[in-house]
Amino acid sequence: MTRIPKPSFLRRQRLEQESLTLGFALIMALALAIASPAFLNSNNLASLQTSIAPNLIVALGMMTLFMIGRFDLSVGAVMGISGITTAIVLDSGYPMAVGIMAGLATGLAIGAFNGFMVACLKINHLIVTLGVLYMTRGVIEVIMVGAKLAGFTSFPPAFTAMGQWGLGGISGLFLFALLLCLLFELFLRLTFPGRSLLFLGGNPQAAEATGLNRPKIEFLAFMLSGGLAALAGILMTARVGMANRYMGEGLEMQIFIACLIGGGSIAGGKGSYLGALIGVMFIALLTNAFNLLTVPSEWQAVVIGAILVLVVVVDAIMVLRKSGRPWRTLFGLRPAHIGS
Amino acid sequence: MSAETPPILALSGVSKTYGAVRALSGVSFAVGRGEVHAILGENGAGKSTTLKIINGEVDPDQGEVRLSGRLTSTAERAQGDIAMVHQELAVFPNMTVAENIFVGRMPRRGGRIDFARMRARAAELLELFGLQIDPGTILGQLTPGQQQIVEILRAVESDASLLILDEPTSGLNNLEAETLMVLIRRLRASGHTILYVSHRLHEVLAIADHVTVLRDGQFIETLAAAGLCEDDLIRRMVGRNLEPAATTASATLSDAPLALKIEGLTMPGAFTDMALELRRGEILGVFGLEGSGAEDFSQAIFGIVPPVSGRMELLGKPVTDLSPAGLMRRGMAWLHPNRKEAGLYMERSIADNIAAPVLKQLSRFGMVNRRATKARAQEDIRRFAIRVPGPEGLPKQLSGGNQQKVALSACLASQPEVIVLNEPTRGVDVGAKAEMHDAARREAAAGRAVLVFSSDLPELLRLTQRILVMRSRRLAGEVQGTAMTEESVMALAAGNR
Amino acid sequence: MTMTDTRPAPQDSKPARSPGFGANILPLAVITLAIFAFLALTRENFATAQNLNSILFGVSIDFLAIVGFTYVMVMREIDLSVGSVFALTGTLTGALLVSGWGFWPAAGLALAVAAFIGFVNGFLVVRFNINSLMLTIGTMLLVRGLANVLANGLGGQTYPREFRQLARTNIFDIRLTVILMVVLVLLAWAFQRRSALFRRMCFIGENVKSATVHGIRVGRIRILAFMASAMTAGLAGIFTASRITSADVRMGLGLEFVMVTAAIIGGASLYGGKGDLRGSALGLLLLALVLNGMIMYDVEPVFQQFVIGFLLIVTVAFDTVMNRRRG
Repeated sequence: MTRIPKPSFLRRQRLEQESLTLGFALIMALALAIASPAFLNSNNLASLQTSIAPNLIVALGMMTLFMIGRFDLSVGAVMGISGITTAIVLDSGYPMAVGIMAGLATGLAIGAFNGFMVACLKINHLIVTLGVLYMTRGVIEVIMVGAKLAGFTSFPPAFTAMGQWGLGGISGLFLFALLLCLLFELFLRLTFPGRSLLFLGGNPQAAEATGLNRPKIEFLAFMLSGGLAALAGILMTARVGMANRYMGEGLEMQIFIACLIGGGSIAGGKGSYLGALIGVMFIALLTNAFNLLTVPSEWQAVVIGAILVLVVVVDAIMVLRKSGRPWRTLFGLRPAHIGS
Repeated sequence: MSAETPPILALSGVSKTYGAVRALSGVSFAVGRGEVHAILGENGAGKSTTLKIINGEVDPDQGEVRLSGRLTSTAERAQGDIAMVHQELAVFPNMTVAENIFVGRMPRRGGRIDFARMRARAAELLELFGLQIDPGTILGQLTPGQQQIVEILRAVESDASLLILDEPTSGLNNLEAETLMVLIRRLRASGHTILYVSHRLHEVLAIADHVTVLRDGQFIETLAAAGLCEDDLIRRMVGRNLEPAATTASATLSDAPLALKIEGLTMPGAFTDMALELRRGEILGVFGLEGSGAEDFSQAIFGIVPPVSGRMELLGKPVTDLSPAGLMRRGMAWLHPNRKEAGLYMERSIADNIAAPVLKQLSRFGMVNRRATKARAQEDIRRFAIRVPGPEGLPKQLSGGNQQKVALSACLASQPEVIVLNEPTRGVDVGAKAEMHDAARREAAAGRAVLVFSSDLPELLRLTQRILVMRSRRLAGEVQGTAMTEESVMALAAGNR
Repeated sequence: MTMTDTRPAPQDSKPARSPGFGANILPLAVITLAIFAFLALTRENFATAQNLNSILFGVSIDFLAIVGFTYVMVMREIDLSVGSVFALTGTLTGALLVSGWGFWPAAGLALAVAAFIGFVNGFLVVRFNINSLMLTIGTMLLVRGLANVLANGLGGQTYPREFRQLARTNIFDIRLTVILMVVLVLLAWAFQRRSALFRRMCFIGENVKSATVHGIRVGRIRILAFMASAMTAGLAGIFTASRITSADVRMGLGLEFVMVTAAIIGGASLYGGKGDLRGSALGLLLLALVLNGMIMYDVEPVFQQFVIGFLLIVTVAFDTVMNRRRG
């Protein structure tokens, strides 16, 4: 038997895709720093941190689902409704802890609903989470009827302080998100429950045969996703001192793409929380670039959509390659006939 | 085996019936501690049912299974210390070799996985069995053979008292199979008991201590492997009582025009350099054991999975559009080996099923003539003696044999000149089987060419005039006329020559 | 020939099962009528000619878009980009007219763009075996972005007068699109009942492997269906743009999910093999009545979104339980 060379560090740690995206992100950052002097401006760096922090928290939940071959499109709406719930409870004069708990409970409940529909009733996760996205957005609209566009703006100082503290110019929220990401990464790499996510995504039948409870893991992962989205919504509300109907709008697609280019796969069995961080950074830099170079927002949607199509196509080609289709028949370069 | 220590595994009078098919009847044999025990039999002899019963996946209808003398229930065996490596890989291609070996049993320290110990133990195992693979390699990077070996190591690591290997070498090349033989010998040396199922007779003779032969769901014999040769085994697997093949009137076909000619057809990883010549009026068989590439070859000649190189001539003209639609237009038809997977539409009427391949002939200006469709279905129902209430019945209401007849009549609906039948009688009863064979003979007698891929060797011997045998993804040889016996075909398919 | 088959042939010779359509038209029509009657009896401003006309007009335009969409679903695929294509085609036609093009060249070019998008969807799905749900979310975003680029470029300009008149064209006092809908429903009925193509589509949707070994050109038909889906969505988009008279970034937002819901209510399934354009039309009408009824009962209009999401989940859950085959 031929000797198998020892794999490279990145391949062994399964960080190949992650490092590729990181490379792109760094190149983009460098290019931006050169092209736009405003990039390194402290205001801009602060706003980058503010946009990365909540997205990263949401992406941690989404990446967990990606690992087991699922995803959750309701996260943006969950983020919005949790912020609003917390704001309402605080507005009615309850203590801060109650407000935060109420927001988290909302997110967990929606996550549990998603999890129940997908894990127990086996309904397509895209449709379920999409329907929940609509329903939640509808509820938000109903709650906010008659409210000002800015939504809730008066919060206890202790609450806003939670979102605005910092250490030496670095946003506390950003640090918190990084810490959370690190904890998740350790969980994934060092514990059996963490590894079991990847086992389940890699080969669901075999994983169930070794004793993993697939519905339970799926259910918990959806709850985690809902809970993290709620946490992000609450922290974001504290940070900007506002809870309105626009929070988290369209966020699900950004997070979805961030996870895909950060090393996740729709088919499951791949991904890391480090990758989620890198993917979120990439998308944040891209959005930042659009803003700095004053590209209209509708072009951003075009680029995001194009990236998604590209990633989905590449993902599909890789799956076909893995099943042993040679490049020649894959792209149809070989003429359709093999006769003379 | 001494009288005091009971055998590690003992079956007595085990029977199992699936629907109308009797899979096992009264099988009894014993496996001694610390031996390599092989189970042999043709396809359908009942090997996999036996293994599933031992492993606690299937409940036997009758009989008992004892482990080390103790009577056990199916549920106990499913939980108990039997480790089975199935034919299909059950591995995690996205995880490392070490993780694949230790899935479900990872060593832990505190709340964490003890990676150092896991790696060390995995390296030890790999080393012990002479594999030079780093435990940190991602499994998906290995060849299927190496993955299979890793899966076996997982079973070894589980410290099961009985290890079942079902066709472990079917996906391996010769070199990998050799490695596996070494591994099995070392396992035996370290005190493991192994139940081994393989089609490759020379392997069985090389490593087994005892061989149990099954035939048609019945226990034939358990014998010591020492001193046996391949012919001894083949004779027992095939049985002496078989009637000589009812050779079809084999007119000299050599002047009949060529219907299908294939040269140098190759698909990397699936089969290499395949060739065949099929004449009008001929029924030609292709036989290969699992993993021989026969299935891939069959799919390739109908363009389901496109081959990479080679030449194909259909009815004297080169094939220019190698797709199912293109070939059907040129007069070819292909019966899928698994009617549950393809060939039928369970929720559509029988009439629709039979009309599916010939919608064009049945319609004018793109509109289907429903009366003609129904009439055609009624005619086929009569012709193939399909037991249905009427052309509006649904296939899912039918028995396996009748479903297969619907699938066949759909296949023949386009009146093809070249007919490829894959496993035409898999899982059907004796009566339906005879009717399927009659249908194939009728087609050949009408001057059409029939190519039969079947793993049911007696069927091929009865039905065909010539058999091509595949082994290790190549053509191993051809037998015809009086030389066509189960022994000669099996020698080509399983031999090491 | 002797039969050794031990299993008895089923005795109950049930009436013919519907060939892929028509199973739930009657109950659906009854429910729709019931809702209609309920609203007509309880709300006096419901059964006015003006209200009914406006419901029918709205449904007739959306109906154009669901034509191709339904047949994509029959083949066990889905096209979520319809809402965006709808918006792009409508806005593009308007933009070209504003910049001085004639109506026919403008509409022709816009429809060609739609066809191209449909082709790309279908080609990628067929060639790389991509899950269409996934892919068309991407094209949905991409095309939506392009439509918004155009809409913002127009900045609220109203379209030329002749174009605005298009949707209001009447034939014998009936809106052109309503007549189109009636004609298309009749054609669809014949198409589903008689045509070889519809049968092929059902075969593909029910068991694509069977369809392949039976020599049906699966790839070609799939690509054509995606193109048809985009083009009918485009046609509806042109009429809608004419109806709303100026570019709007919210045009067709969420249309795809209204359509999934309506198509499943009308007898299609995410698991393929079935679908009925008549049912889809009734499904759209049913949804329109429900939403209109909510307005009649002074339910917050913003609650509509909730109802659409809720109906989507309920219909898909129902579909999953009823139609899921083989695990």
